[in-house]
Amino acid sequence: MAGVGMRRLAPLWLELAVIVILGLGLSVAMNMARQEPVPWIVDFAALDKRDALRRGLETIDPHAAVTMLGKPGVVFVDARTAEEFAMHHVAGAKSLPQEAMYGDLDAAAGNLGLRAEDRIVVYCGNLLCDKSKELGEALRTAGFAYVTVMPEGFDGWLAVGGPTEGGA
Amino acid sequence: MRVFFVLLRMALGLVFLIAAWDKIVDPMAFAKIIRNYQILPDMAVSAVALTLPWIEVVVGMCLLTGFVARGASLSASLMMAVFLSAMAWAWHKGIATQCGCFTTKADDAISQATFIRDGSIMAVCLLVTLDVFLRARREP
Repeated sequence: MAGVGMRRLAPLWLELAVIVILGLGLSVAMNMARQEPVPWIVDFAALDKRDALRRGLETIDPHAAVTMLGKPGVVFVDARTAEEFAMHHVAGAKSLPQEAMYGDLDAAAGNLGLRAEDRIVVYCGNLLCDKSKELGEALRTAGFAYVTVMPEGFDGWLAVGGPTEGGA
Repeated sequence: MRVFFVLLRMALGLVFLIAAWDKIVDPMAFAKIIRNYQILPDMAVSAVALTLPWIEVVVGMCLLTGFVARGASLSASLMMAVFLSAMAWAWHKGIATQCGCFTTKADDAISQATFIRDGSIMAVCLLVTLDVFLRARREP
């Protein structure tokens, strides 16, 4: 009898297939129903690059940024808060919280010893923050010619195993 | 006992439905959170952000109604295992990313609390899965 009863149940793979097909179908249909459908493939790195270019900035990914660390004239600038910087930051980086752009940025940058000819790499927390782009744009406006942004931020730096200081 | 497990299964279904809502409303915000985990290649991020919430909806509805309950409970357990693994990877790397579990807003950063919450949901998933499979074997 048990064998007869078992036949009533759909095979497990079929149940899983039903769930996946329904999920995929709904996601396609509902995306098409949006006023502005979201693209299925988005080149986020290109978007970051375009956004940075609009602000007059270059971008660098964490792998390339690691190779720049310690080179003459390269300065890493941390746009996060002073507290976040104190907890953990890129080795040798200087703290210039993004809020500094609302005050005397020239003086703040001068206090850090930044020079107009330095290659400045600005970063903030991660891909979800815009502080590095905002501060980078302000630094460009203030006369710093070579400002590069690392959109992946400190999280990206940690993900590639970049050297750090002050690990909490 | 049976009523208890049915209610547990339905509650789990509700949790999955609630978790999907914010991600469906703002898929690009969810995509940015997924991208910040730095696990998936950029090209796959948007597709996952668009699809995953709807699979959560289907799993949630199935758990609520009992339709294809074995597949739904197993899917829920597998999804929670993947979510917890991703969170553990980010935590291990020191990445202070948003969880992206229940909201796309910036108030759900990965923390011990998110691990306890999602770990508890995972435990319920496993309990429900075990119950559904045992019941299917006993009462086909």
